[in-house]
Amino acid sequence: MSEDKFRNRMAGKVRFPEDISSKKMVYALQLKARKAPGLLEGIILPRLPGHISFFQASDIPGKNILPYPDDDVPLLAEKEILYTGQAVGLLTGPDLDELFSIRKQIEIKISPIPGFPPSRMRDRQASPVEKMIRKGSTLRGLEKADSVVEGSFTLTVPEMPVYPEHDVYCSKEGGTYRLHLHSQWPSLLRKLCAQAAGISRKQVEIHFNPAGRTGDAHIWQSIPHAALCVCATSILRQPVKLIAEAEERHKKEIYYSYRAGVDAGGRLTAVDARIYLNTGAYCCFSSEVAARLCLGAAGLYQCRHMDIQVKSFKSNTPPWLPLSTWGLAQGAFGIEMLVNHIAVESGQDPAEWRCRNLSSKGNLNTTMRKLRETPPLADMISSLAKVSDYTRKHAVSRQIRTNRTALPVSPSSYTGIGMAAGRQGYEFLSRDKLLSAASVSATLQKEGHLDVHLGTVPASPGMLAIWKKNISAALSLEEDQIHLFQDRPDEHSFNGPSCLSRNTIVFTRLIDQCCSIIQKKRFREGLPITETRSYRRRTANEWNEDEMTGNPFSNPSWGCAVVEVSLYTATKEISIPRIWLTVHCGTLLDPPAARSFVESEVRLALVQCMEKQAIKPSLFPELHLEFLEDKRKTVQPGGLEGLALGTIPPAFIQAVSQASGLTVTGLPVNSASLLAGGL
Amino acid sequence: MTENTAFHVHIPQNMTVLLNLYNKAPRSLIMAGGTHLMNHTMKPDGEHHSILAVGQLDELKKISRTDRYIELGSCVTINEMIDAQLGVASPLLLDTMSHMGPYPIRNVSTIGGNLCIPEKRMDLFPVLLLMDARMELRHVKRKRNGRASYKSRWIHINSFLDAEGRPDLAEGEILSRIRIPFYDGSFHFHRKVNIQDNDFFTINALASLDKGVLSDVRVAFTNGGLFILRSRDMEANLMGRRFPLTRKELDEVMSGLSRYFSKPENPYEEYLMNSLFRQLLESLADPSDTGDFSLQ
Amino acid sequence: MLIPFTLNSKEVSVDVPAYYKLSDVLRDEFGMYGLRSACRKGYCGLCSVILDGKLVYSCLIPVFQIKNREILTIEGYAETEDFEDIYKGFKKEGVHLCDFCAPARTLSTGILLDRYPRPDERQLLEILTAVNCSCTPYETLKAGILTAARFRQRRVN
Repeated sequence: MSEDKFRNRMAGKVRFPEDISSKKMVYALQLKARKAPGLLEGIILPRLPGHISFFQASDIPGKNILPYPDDDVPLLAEKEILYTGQAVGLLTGPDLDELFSIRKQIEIKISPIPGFPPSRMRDRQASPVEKMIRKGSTLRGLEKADSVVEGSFTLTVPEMPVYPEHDVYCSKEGGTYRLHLHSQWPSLLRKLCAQAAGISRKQVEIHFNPAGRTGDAHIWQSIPHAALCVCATSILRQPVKLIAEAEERHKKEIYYSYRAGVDAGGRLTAVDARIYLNTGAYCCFSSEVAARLCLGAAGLYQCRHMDIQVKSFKSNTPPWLPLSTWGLAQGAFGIEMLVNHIAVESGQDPAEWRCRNLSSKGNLNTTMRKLRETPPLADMISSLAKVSDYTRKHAVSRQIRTNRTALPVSPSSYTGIGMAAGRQGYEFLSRDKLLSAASVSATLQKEGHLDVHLGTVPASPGMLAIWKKNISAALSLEEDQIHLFQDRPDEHSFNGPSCLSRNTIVFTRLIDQCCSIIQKKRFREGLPITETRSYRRRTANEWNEDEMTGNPFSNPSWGCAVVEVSLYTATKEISIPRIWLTVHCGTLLDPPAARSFVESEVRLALVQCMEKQAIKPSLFPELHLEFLEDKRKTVQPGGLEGLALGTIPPAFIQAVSQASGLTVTGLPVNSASLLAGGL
Repeated sequence: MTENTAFHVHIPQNMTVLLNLYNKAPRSLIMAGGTHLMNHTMKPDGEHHSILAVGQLDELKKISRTDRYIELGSCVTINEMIDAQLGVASPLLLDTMSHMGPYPIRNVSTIGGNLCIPEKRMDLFPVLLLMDARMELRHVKRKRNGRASYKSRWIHINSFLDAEGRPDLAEGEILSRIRIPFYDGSFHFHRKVNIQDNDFFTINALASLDKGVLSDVRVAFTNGGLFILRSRDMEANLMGRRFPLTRKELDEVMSGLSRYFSKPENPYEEYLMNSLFRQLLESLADPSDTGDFSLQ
Repeated sequence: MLIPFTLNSKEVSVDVPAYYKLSDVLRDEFGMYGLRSACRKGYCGLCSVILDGKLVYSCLIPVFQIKNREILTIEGYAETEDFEDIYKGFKKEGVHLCDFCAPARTLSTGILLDRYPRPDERQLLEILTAVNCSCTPYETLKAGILTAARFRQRRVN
């Protein structure tokens, strides 16, 4: 990063949408339903002064629908109110305090309707999205088993507060609408804003808010705000700043129920799993999430007979998908808990059990494809077990718990240790173009500078510098001759969201390809030379998303975590002294950014585990993070996102179970729940 | 800016003005640091407030000490207390203060605010209770001829709360000073455990041991609400015992705990009360090993 | 209510309702956009300012409290030599803070280094706890703070 940028950042000179204002600007506040579910009978407004305007669904100039994958979400509810807090109108005016006071006087008439049936009842009906992996016959597998292990687990996913809130500023200059906001998905944002306002995509220009990373769960949350803001600007012909207000946060649960057959040697003979996913009132993104959940739940272990089913159900809460990591990490939670249980029950060390039972080269993976090479997980598990002294600590903690079930309350603590392994794939399983599209266009201009149109936002600001550096090396250009454009209104190509480390990997590759072709053509053809490279979606033969067969990820990354826990007997407080995390993700492009990224994910995982608002520095564990880089030249970078989230929660829960002597079956865990005997 | 309705604010220049204003408008809110009020109590869209801002009143920000006690104005901030080396006088107080929120909050929140929040017993109250703090309450009385008579009374912290656990202040009366006597005991014990969200269970104890015999002990429990427990009978039962206690004695003291204290409703609080009390007894046996850990 | 005060060494005054939060007034009336208004509950620490030489969360301060007092925001602090030390320290250790928390983190580090010129582990934790953002690894931050402290020591000596 340049010195000036670094200094400006520290000196607070970076501007966000909420910092922008102009003379004629008006504020916009959303009017939200105060009860649900119900039918909107009417909105009774007080007498509005001339400078205050109110818009509802019928006033939207274009389409009042945001067509996300799997479900359409109304921009403003027209008739059916499905959750409390659903937007029904937009109030605009020059004075924010006045808007707040007027909003209070507005009466929303809603007649109640029955809510979505509870999840269990919903099962009988068609679930909005259902995914399954079937391999062999679980009946036969269970018949062969010496014992059958069953387990039910619950994972509560907290919604994290996201700073900054998605304030949006929009002004109109000529025929162009200039939006200032943060988005991880500029292409979709531009498309849907244009649709809502009934204008062309080319008329929407995005100025990015240089925010930090927002969770994937919030990947589309800025879109409705932006669309409303553009609509209000187009009607009022004035700049509009939409104030995003903190929303009520809901915890969402994923239920797992497993039945596994185990032979005398402790090997899996069959796995039968049912997973229920709450999608909220709209099931947008649910097919990708369900597919990844399904894949995660099938695990990484050898088993000939499998039946994994993920069913989603709707509830009268705000839509919340996709999850962080789009479900893969959450899917792995149940199976990692289960295999640990199996290993312990069969008297084996869970680390060894994992090494012995991992699928390796030549085995059929869970999606019926032969593995081309052995994943590095077995080596990772062995080396991690060695550095963390896992085997000894696990045996000691277990022995203590077996011998003494009640210790006096002295100033002492029990310890426990847990392990989990996981993988991550940066590719979407869905072949939906909306998600998977990616293209880069580079033009070497006559003047000798290179314009690169990316159409995406990088995962970290450091990536832009890395891309520039790569281009500079490939084309022997000075870095100031290279211009990277994140979004251009005249760009016709559509790009998927920036998440799952996908933008880092895919775009790095596409940029490299563009550069090498330009380099070849450079001295043969006249300038300007334009080269466009697009991401090649996988064929149905490589991955069949309907059948869930094939090779789900072309270049997966692997992670393994060991979590050590201390449980204070006098207070039942849990502390985490140490975490060991090993990550194998091909080549590392930006090591400091990668470290920072993984550490913040560790924090997120711990928040999820312990239901804390945040993990304070004094509570943050000693983190032994190791990146295993593959030095081979042909190896591509892999994704990082989700490796900590997929491995730390199950490892943590195993450690807590061991320390407390209880069978803890769900997250989050707190002192009071441990006292009550687990979840 | 968030939605709010207006309210009057007065910033009195001295105590006389403050007392007179409060006498005239006894329903006013007294605001010192305002950290709690800004976050929890003040409901700007509710009633029409009158606020008396006392945070910058020099008379309420004085710290003085003698060889027997330290006297603090009610608007002394927590960090000012830490900087005034109160820890030398009482390690228990220092321990408590250093667990009271992040540094910027401690720069603003005051001892008076901490003691006077009506709906909660915060961290300092039990500690000052154990240290036998005394408090000066001041008010102004109007005579028939219109003249003002300025009154002040010192009370023991024990009588600061009413039966429901709220500050028992007369109309127009404010807490102006807190006098904390030095405690010469050698042992202190402080544990603060998060029950949920912003609620904490605490146990505080002060004790003197003479060759293993307990010559003085003071113990107080609090939770996130108004609950505060101290039993002189229980303390008397412990005094004179030689530590470490025998197993039989330990069991007897533990089983007697329910005689002195009513059972908390929350089972986790009940567990904490028992186990932390037991830990206190075990620490008394070996005062060098306080088993100190803190997850705050 | 008319409230005179000193902002970044300049005498200013503002006429706003007394109940407004200081963070809102500084941003909306004086364009001090370096302080962020995020949680508004005294939790995130992104609205930190220096009030009479002390670090405070401005979202917990009603504006009437600042009457005749001195406020220093990151905009003013960036002009000082202390800022340069932190800038150099963070730059040297590769502390890449996010745009959102960087000003508050810089300000809190600066003011707490006045208090703890050679911070030990406990004091480092106190500095880290003042701002709640998870953009940068704690170890990197600690290294940055210690290097900034060394730069400051060197300059002062």
